[in-house]
Amino acid sequence: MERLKKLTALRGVSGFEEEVRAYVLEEAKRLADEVRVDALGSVIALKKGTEHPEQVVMVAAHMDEVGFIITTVEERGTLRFATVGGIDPRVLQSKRVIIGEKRVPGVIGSMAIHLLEAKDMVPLKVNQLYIDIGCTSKAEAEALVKPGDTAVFDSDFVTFGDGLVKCRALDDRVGCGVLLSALERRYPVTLAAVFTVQEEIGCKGATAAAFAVNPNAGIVLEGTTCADMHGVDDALKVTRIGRGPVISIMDRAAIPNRPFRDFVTATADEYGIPWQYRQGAFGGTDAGALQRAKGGRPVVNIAVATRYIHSPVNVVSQADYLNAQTLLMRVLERMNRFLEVE
Amino acid sequence: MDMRNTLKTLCQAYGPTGNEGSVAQVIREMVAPVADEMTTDAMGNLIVTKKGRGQGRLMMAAHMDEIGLMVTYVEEDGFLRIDAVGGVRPQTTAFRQIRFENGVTGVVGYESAKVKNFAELTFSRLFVDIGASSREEALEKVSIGDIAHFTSDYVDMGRRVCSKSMDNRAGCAVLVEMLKGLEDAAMDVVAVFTVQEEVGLRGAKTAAWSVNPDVGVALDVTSAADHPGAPTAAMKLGQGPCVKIKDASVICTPSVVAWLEQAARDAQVPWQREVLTAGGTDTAAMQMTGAGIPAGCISLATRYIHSQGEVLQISDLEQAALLLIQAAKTGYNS
Amino acid sequence: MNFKAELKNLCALSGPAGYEQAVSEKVEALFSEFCQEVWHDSFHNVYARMGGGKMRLMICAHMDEVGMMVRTIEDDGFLGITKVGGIDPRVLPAHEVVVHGREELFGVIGAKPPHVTTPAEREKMIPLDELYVDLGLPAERVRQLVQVGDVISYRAPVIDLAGDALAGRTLDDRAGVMILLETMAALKDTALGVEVVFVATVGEEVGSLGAAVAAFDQRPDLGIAIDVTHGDTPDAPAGESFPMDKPNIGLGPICHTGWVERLRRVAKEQDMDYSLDVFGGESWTDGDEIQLTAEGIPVALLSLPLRYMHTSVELIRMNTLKKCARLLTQFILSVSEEG
Repeated sequence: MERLKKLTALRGVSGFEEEVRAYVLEEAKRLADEVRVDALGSVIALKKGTEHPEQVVMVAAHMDEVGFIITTVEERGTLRFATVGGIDPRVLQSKRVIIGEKRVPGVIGSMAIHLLEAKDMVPLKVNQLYIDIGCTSKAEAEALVKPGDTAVFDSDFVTFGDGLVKCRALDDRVGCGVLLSALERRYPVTLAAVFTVQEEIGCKGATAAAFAVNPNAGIVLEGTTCADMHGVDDALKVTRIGRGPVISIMDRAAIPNRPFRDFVTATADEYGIPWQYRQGAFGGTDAGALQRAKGGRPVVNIAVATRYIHSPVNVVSQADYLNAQTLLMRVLERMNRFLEVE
Repeated sequence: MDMRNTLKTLCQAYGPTGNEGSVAQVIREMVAPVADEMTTDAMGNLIVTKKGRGQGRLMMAAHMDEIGLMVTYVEEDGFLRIDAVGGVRPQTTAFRQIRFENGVTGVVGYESAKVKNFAELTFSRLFVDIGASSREEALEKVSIGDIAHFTSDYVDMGRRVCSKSMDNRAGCAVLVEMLKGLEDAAMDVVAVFTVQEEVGLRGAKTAAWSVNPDVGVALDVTSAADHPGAPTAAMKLGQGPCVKIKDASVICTPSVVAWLEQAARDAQVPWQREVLTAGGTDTAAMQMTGAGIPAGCISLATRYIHSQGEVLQISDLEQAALLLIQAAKTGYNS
Repeated sequence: MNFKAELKNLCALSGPAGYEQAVSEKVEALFSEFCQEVWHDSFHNVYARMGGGKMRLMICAHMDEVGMMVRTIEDDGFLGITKVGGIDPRVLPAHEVVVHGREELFGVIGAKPPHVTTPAEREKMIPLDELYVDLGLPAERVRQLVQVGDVISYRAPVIDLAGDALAGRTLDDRAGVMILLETMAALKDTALGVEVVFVATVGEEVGSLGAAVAAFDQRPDLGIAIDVTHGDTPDAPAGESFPMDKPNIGLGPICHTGWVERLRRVAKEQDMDYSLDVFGGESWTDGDEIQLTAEGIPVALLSLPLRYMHTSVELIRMNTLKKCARLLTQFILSVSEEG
């Protein structure tokens, strides 16, 4: 959990993953045999297999997170912004943000309810909102923030409830955390751990990395939608927190390879690791990019159910996170069996 | 305890807002044998005192008034035009039978050709038919300004009962039975049967001023949320009296809430907590009176409030009376 | 005393209307630093009396905050909520809260993810009765820890922004309480020719219960409500929102014209700039209740501009808070000397 806490303290809006990359590089250099950064900025770390080093399993987790980019500094010192990645604008009003490398604090402002008419009580669009950093003029604000600076929600790491964690960016720092733990061991097959960039804006990093690594099989680690909150029909709950790692059946980007999926779930069952299907087909992950690079290859997703994904209050279960780690290691330990059948 | 008969008698009595005299008379007769003192103030509030050991004064308030209709104009052809007295909805008024204090009865009709959408019905499209065929004939029976109440059968469903005006004759019935059962209380209890609650807690305001109690508890109905498609809330029939935490008019004084909950424990009756997003009760009027009076409320979970078919459960009322007796016995310390 | 640090401490305490006791105790301790005669009433209003004379001024600022309350405990352990005071439901999705049950519980107000909502729904505000607090606990545990009626407050720190700006929860009207405190500090060694009763009031957000009680009890010759008003933002209408760097003097039907003139005169004598907050009806401050207490009490209003009222990121400028305290101090001195 300490590693996850460290990972979530870092900022990494899509395209601006430097802080996360620096940490991942440092850890990967310590743990892997060979580490490089590709042209787009993804980190590729190889851990040679003991028995079948020619068999390469690429495991991907994305370093980037949804966030904001400052577009304009206004005369009165307020900032206008655009969202990076899919954020429901309804979660923005009155939230705190941290801007740029200097970590300038700000709040997302909007007119007080008292000044509104009832008919205007509709969710505000991004272009109606602004960030207030307490400055009174453009010059004062520009000394702190420039257009192009990125911002993230100011949301701390809190453990609460029945073994749950709340923070921003748990999607997909949980994946990064699981993947770094996997690098701590050596497996019969070669592990290509790929920490990708720009997943939230179209799985860009994974496309390039899959081409370069050209693995025999791929596993994508994700924080995935969880809809087990009150008022959602059971059929739409998709995943439930605390019910184990999530195995995807299909999304808009990929239909995971059925034999590979069965191999993963059978492994989980054999070791008594709880798991659940992702009972829905919306959304998309790096799996699509991984599956269809070059000649194509089998892929699966192993994900951690994340409530309130893409909001400042991502919530995951510590048990789910640890079980995802265990499941990935068990799969890698016996991956050669699957690849030999294939 | 004879909650059933007390409730039935009170529910059938005539007493729309502003015309509570007959209800007050019925209550006077019910409590006369046990009261130490009975007065009626200028507003019409009936104030009944039952002395305890004098460890402070506890005011309990239940409003006697019920929603009704007031005659505003009489048409050439003998139909009456009306307006609402209290929270009456036009949609639940159409086709209902009403009765004036002098016994004249009528039925409410609406301008069927002019009302395309029943949801948009307004009082200006409603009228009352009292069987008169001319203005003169109608004015022999009623006057402009007369107030009618709605009529309905009182239906005993077993554990539960159904009637008009459970709001708030149920509260009055609890106070009556409380007074009958009250013995050896620490506090002097002043039970106030208030007027004009339905138009803005008017009676309780003046009564609280003159009674000037150390603590106040209102008795009223609250919306039960246990029927299909009800708004989500915690209150249910048969789960015991509700200890109010808040409604739209008041945040009950926490020390009063704690005292009432302890009384429920001591009296060994079940209770439930009430958080109501709408509504208003005499509690607010008491709390804001003078230099402020710590105030709380015991509510009775009721379905279909402000209709002719208000449904509640007898055991909730009986337990409410027991709870209040216990509260008076224990006494309130701020 | 480090007033900014104390303000932050004060803002950290939870006190929705009706449940101000913790704030009240803290305020009583703070008032006692500068005043000998401090007490509270049964509603937890806190009073501090200074000076003495023929005239009595009552100066109040409210301690309570807007908040929420548990309305239902659902079968899956989520909590249905209702509001205490005027919260904008649009700020609640993905907000962190503290539920004050048998122990303080961290929770988040969730929102349904996009796949279970329609595009048309996403255009609409999520109504309060469709928002739930997630405690991350199984239902049976929730029922052990939480009751219907437990209060819920925003979880948010007060943070320093650029310059002298502060943003956080409950600055409406704990900043006003701090104006009272700074004024008391400035006057603590002065022999006043007027009696001044400072009151930190309860229940303002739900109808000024505390101010009504205090005014009835004290029957002052003048009541001054110290509250916040809307600070200017890019989207706020001019005339209803005011520059952040100046105190506001209220001017409307409920304000006593003579006393308003007096406040303005003092500001002019002191060469202090201010905005006039002109309004047509009610002031939506403690002033409304004070005016109608007993045989009627003259009222004046002094307010601090604050942005994003009733959210967890209410924003003020510390220097303006100090200016308000200075204007109030000078006003009291003026009344003390001239009557």
